[in-house]
Amino acid sequence: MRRAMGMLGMAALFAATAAVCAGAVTLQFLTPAWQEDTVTEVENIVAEWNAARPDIQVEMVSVAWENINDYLLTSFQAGQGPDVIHQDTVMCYEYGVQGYAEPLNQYLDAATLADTPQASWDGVSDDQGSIYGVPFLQETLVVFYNKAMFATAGITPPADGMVTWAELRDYALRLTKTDASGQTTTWGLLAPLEQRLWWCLVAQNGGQVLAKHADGTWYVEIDQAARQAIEYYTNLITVDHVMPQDVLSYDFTSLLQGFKTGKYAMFTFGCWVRSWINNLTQNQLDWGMLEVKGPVRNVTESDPQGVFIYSGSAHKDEAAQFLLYFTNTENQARIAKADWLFPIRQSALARPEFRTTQEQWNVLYQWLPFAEDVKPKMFGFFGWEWQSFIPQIEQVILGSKTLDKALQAATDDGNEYLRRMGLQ
Amino acid sequence: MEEKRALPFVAPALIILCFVSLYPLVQGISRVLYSFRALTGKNVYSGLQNFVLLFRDSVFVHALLNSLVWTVTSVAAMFFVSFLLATMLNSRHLRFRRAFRTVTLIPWALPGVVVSLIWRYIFLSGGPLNTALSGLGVTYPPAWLIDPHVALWTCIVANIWMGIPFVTIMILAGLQSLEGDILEAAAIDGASYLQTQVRIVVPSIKKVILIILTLESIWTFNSFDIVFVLTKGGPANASMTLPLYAYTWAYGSQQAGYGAAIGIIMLLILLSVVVLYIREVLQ
Repeated sequence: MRRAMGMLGMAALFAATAAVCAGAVTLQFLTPAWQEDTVTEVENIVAEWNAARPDIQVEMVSVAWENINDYLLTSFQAGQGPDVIHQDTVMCYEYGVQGYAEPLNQYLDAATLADTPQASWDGVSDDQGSIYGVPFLQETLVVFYNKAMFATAGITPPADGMVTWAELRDYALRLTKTDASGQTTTWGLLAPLEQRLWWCLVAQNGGQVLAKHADGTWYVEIDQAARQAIEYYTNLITVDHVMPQDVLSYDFTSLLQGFKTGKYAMFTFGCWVRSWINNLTQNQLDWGMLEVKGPVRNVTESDPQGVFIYSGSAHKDEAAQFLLYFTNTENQARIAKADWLFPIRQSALARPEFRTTQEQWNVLYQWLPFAEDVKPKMFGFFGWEWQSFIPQIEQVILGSKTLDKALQAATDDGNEYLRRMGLQ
Repeated sequence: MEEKRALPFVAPALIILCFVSLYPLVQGISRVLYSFRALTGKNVYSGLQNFVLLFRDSVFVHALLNSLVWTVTSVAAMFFVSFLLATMLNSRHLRFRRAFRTVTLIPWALPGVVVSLIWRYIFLSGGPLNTALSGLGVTYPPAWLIDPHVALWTCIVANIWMGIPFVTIMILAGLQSLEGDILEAAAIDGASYLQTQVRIVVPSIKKVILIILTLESIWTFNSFDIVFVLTKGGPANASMTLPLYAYTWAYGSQQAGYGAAIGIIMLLILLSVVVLYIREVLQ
């Protein structure tokens, strides 16, 4: 394998040298891929492309998920963005609306369009039908649980792993332990606010927080179903005391360490965290996964990722060729497997490695039909969420506001925010 | 005549300064007049609307007050602790003085984000600080990053730790420039330690102190990394400061005009600090 990679590297080097001599095009490909296996796989794919296409060379540029938007906005403002960019699909759409992402309709053939579900295309398209990105990775938000702690508490989860809201609360209550001084030693559940279990709960209950008028404008109106879902989530902290206030400010490593040591019996996160649990526990911890079943419908957050082309790129056609290669069936499958995620192309998803019992791919695969982007496709959603909505929920969690007052403030502040954004 | 002759020598530096300093300033000011409209994806002229919105924005007012508390307490504490440290490091009786001076500089040599991450780890609910407090018998140690009454102060502690080395070294340099005879004369005259510091040392290094206070006030007021990494301005905006709030609007919501309006208010506040400094120096 190493030898093959070495030869591939040499070939890429020769190709690059030849390309420079021949005056080939060089594209910049920006990716926030960060897990070691994923980075290696992306590097391999880029090296294979460079070896095969001396006329179009690709230079991979890495950036962290935390500051990719800062990097892009600054680059775009300076008119110097990378040619091809890997990002959340919601940002493909937002950059498209702003004119930074190139419409890809002319580059997508019927087979490519048909191989990706329409809902995924909708996530990267505007109302006029312009497609600004190619969706290629998705996940499922799951509840990880410690099997030994479940056994000790006498909990037997359903065979399909789907639990109702009542069951999840009941498990968390039975798993939460306190010491003689009343201090909690084991928390039943940790569902970090930014992982958006509460958004899934709203969707599962058929609730509405943000809505769109026929003319494209938006408004905040929190209905009873959404209120119930948010109340269920905040009650886990303020009433049931099965979840710590740490949901407001958690640390990824401490969370995993806490799961390993039994501080948290269950926690919610994207399915890619399996690799981290395995690495951290050296496969010594017996853990499983659950999916929360909705009262009205079953929904889990898919958090899709996509690839788009910078509209200011001087080599859009070449960038499109690389984009289509990078997101083809084979490569989507390779990157998804390395990143412990699922591909979006149906032909890639059909491959057996995504249904194997190894690493519990089969468990997740059965829940994949419920995966969708629960975040409303509104420009500035993240800004709205973190500037007007989350601060109110935080106050409920901290006990400084009642839910009713907080939701009223979230409605008022949210609508004010939308007016400022020109969305009303 | 002298000035005319100097002009060609100064001109290149002036041109570069105008390009890297004035151009962004003018750009920033012009941005204030525009607002981003998400439905069309365009920036539209909105006059002084961003300033009008600013003063109706309760989070802005809160962030402004936080920034003042953050700056005044940080700089005051930095100065007080650093003065004591510098006096100690200046003492001829202290052994391993050079080693201590080197060690003092370490926090300043670390990148702000690294320092912030270390402090974040220390202040986590289950972090080393709370583990130590629990070990000492504190049943419910504070939630440093989560409690809205504590979060800003947590950030201030980290900021003070990071700022102390620079202030210490600057004060130490000032102390070393003092004539030993003056201090000896004060001692012979029977001045106490406190009297010597307040009536002789501080007035003697007044110019150094002024420049330290001015620079640290500007740096602390503009500081972004510590609050961003530790609390992101939360919970519920409890530790929100102006630089972070400007960033939130400019990058999080892509309202560069509103972010620039916050930046201009910050500039005006800092200009008043600089004016005070210049007035003191000219006196």
